[in-house]
Amino acid sequence: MQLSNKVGLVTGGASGLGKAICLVFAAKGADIIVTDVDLVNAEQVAAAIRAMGRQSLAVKMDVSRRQDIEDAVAKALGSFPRIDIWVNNAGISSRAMVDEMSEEQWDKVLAINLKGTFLGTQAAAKIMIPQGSGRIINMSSRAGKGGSFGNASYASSKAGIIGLTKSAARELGKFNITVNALQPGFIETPLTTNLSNAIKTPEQIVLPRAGKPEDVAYAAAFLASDEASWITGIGLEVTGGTGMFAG
Amino acid sequence: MSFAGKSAIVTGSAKGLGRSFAMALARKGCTVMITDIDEEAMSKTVSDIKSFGGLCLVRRVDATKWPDIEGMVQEMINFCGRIDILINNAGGSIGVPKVPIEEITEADWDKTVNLNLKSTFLCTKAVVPYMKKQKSGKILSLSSITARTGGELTPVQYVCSKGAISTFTRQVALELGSFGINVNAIGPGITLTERLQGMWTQRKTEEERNTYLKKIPLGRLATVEDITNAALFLCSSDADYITGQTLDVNGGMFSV
Repeated sequence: MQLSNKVGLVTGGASGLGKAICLVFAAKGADIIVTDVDLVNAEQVAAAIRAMGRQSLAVKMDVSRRQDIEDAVAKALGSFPRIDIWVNNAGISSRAMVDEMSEEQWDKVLAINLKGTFLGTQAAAKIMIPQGSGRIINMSSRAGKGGSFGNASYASSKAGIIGLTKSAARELGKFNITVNALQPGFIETPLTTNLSNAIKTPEQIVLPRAGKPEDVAYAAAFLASDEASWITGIGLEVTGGTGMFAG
Repeated sequence: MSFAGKSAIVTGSAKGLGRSFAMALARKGCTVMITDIDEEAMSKTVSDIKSFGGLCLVRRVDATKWPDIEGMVQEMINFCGRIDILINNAGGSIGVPKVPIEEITEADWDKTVNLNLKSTFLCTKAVVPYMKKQKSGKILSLSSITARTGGELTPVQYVCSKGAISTFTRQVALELGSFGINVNAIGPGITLTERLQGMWTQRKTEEERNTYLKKIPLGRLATVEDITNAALFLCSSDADYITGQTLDVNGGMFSV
């Protein structure tokens, strides 16, 4: 299978894109460490993975706290011999117009989305360098490229993830570690459920359906696989074509 | 990824990347049509596919000539009634000199643009009516890292044809999205096919080669498998929500 004998760790794995990534990776042969601040739902995902016949551990982890990450890694490496794939998926959104956004909103979004991705990338690199191989996959967004009306903090964090991804790709390539970003368009998840239709409907529709979390998970699985060993530093848009003319 | 029950046309599939795409699809159960102008090399590829029980057709096709392309598509439709995948692989810059722009002849401009860009257009034009009826299809074209980084050894008209292929991909993806047809491209870095192996070792000194390799974070050139794996992903149902994209496969040298 595409991910046979791989061990993956996913942040924000309890719901949405992260959950889909955990389940699709497991279906493709990987054992998975499901991390999230929501341990209850992370446990449910881990249980679903075990029901597939794969191994899985749920770990409570706040990506904005370095200590949480270190503790989670220690727990993971207590149960698994290595970590081959690290997906920095955890992210939040806190909508406000740029002239009204509070510092608190900005700081919280950047701490989880961008700093959390940095801390996760660092933790993954420390494990993968001695392993001599690895895959780091970061969750950016179309919003990181084209901006997002009423969501500048989210868009900034996702754009920052691109700079981080490309820099890390340049540094870690010599250790046979690839670092790539995914840039989903509009995907139906708990994060997007309550958005108004005005926001959900793209200005230009190409493929006539909203994205499913699995669409993003399949792209993640490809980048995580041995088949993608010469792909690094990219942002892969999984958008059904929306936004491709939007900058 | 299974391609059982699917059918694919790969242009320029006698040798190199095209041959690799065709063989990989055939190994995964796809019915593949091998097309090229090099009939001797094509017949070897066909016998290699048949040796592992793959299903393939073969046809001499000049991908710059509309009657050849019409015949190619008709034969595939007559054989199995559908075309699920088109890989516009025919292309290249061999035999066309890299000279300063003021010295490029019209003939050399047209030759390269026809072989790379016009062939992509003509083959796409030919398969789209069938893909529209099917309400599904995957079209994959070959851009190049040179469209991102500029070409050191490749002529201007090659580089801009490859850039144009990315724009063609985006525009046609927009047009065909509502029919359930995915249109994408890949942008390979230098890949050690037989043809390019010669260019790499003969036209560059050891020092030049090492300087080039230092620019690649993953420290090596592509294997044919690296590019083939990316092509197969984009042609698979796992990539159903990806369209209009040029996937950079270049060891980290460049991406937008």
